Amino acid sequence: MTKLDEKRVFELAHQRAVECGIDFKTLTQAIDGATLATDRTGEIPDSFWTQFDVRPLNLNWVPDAYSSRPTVHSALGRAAMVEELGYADPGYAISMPGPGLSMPPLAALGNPEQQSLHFGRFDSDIPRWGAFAITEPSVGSDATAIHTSARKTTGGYVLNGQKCFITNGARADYVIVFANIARDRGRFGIRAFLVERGTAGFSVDRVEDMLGLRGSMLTALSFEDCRVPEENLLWGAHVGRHLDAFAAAQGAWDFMRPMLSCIIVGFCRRTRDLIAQYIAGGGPDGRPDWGQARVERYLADMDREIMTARLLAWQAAWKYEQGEAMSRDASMAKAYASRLAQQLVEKAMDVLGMAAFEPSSRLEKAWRDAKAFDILEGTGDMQRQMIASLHRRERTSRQIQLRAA
Amino acid sequence: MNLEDALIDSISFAMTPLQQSIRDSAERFARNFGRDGEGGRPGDLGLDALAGDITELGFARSEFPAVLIAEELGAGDAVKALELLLPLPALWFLAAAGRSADFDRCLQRWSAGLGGPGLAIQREQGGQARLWTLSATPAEEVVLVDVQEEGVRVDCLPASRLAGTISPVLGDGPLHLTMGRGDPLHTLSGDCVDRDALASACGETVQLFSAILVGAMRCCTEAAYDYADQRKSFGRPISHHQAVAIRLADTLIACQGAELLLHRIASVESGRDREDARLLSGQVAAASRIVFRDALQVFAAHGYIAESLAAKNYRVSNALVAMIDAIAAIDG
Repeated sequence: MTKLDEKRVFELAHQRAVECGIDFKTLTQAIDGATLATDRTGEIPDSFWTQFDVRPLNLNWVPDAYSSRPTVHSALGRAAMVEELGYADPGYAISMPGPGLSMPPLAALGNPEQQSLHFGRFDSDIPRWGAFAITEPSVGSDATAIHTSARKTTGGYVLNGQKCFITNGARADYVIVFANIARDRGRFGIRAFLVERGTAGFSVDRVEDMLGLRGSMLTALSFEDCRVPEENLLWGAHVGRHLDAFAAAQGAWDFMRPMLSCIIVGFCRRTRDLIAQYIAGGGPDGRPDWGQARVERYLADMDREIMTARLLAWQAAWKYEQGEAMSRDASMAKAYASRLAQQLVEKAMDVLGMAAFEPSSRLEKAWRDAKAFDILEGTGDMQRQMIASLHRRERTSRQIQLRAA
Repeated sequence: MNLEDALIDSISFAMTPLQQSIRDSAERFARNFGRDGEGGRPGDLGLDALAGDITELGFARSEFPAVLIAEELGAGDAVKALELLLPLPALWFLAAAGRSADFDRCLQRWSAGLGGPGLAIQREQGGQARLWTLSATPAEEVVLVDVQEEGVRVDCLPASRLAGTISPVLGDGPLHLTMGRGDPLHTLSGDCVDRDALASACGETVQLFSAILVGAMRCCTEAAYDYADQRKSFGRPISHHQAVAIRLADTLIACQGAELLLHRIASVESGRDREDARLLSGQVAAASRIVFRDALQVFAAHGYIAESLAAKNYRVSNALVAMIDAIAAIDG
């Protein structure tokens, strides 16, 4: 039977983790033990990271050329790992040390010296994070309309503006900041700057008190006459004519959306298991006695949807690895998975009712976490608008090719 | 083979050259559906050969040729695809029951272009039988799958035996679905069909019908995109309005998700077992409801005209979903 293949995905995640030197069992158990406390406090304590070797976690998404350790090479290996982390806790999964969303723009826009210097810092026994800052208080999904400005001065640039909802923003060692050097040039006026923590004029205004995924430290950042040296501009002749900074930002989303979708798949599996556990104990203490056939049908319905979500995510990740155009697939995976997560927690609440609010239950937290998926990394509505628009574009180019043929 | 390769192998994100060529042939064949109004002959696509063991034709099990063909034909015209492909499941059920003489005779007739057998499913409840029959015109014989409490029996009957007990449901269109209710048609008293063989026939049939539906979903989704790009309101194509764009995206996601699951299940050895058949039938049903409902909504009143593609598929898909569900529920 095909079903959810949990066992093989679990084995693959563990195999790949072991190859990279990650003690996955200890890591997932530690997350499991810490998740409810983090939900209360909104913090991952420093002591959390002392339970295992963090170097391989730091290096996990660093390109091979800049890593002293083996990293997970394949999209499917990465997908399996993040799915298992998502099963443990999605907030922790997106808070793992490493360059995170800053990796693709640094890899695409940085010259070899910049990459060596900034990826090199992850070769450390201390947890290190990179962050990616494009969203602004008044500009969300239309990222080409950003207001943050970068004015050229002697030896560098001066940044002014605000960024918000930046994942891991308060703990990051550096932030890749997207700013305008010439607003009248639209997306082609955007450049990416690497801003080090502690740079004068760069401040963390606040860590948002979020409804869910509270370990991820979503942060508001501001830049007031923040001087960034010339060598921290991620741009140059090495970038090539086919790429611009905004395209590199899109590349980051293309990389991250399938991964986030896999995290959501793990979250969905956990929610499904919580429901299954609850209804398996049917009868006493007011729990529903469903009967075997109904239980099986109910769980099978969830399984097929989770399986579909995983296939969409894997397909997008696989295409990314093959170098194929996959923005539409990445958006489809994310849109489907995040809606499914919401539907599953709603089902769970229907089934468990007040039992979901017991102190040891994760479902009340899951209910809050699930809502985030349809918002972060582009809202569900925006993903759908992009899917339709990218599909139309793809159809047009196919028609042109056909006519030419 | 290592675990990762095994997982990738079971997903089929990329088609093999053989799969691609099957797909292309079926797509070309389906294009003629619209041109000459004929459904074509089974031999034109080698469909009759798929009634037997596909590994003897040089296919790997994971290449699922019948599913690929059904999907393309479904994208051309779901009803004609169903008519053309229907003898395949009928033959699979005969093979599962070990009725080789009936199998050979029906296959020969079909290969010779004399029409393949229809398929009828009978389920008995409290002494009364519910029967549904599906046949391509002109079906002279019908394979009856008789689902009883103690097991499933399969027989091959002249189509005339069923006439009079059943009444047309979608008989006014080209989909000859008829339903009946009354005394059970007991024709056999022999052994029940082996459980595993039956599950395999059901699983393959679910995949085949699901593929037709997935093809139809794809076709309807693309038609909706075409229409939304051409139709204007408030001075711009309706596809540029966010509410419509979201609807279009949802149809595409549903379509893509169902196709991926179909290919995944069709490519693995376990894909013909009962659990996978139910998994697939559930997903295809859910996806088709989204696709045909939302695609019709994009066309609005133009999609509600009975002869329009959206309306036709809205109606036919409902029957197909019920059939897929009923076949997936057959348990020996």
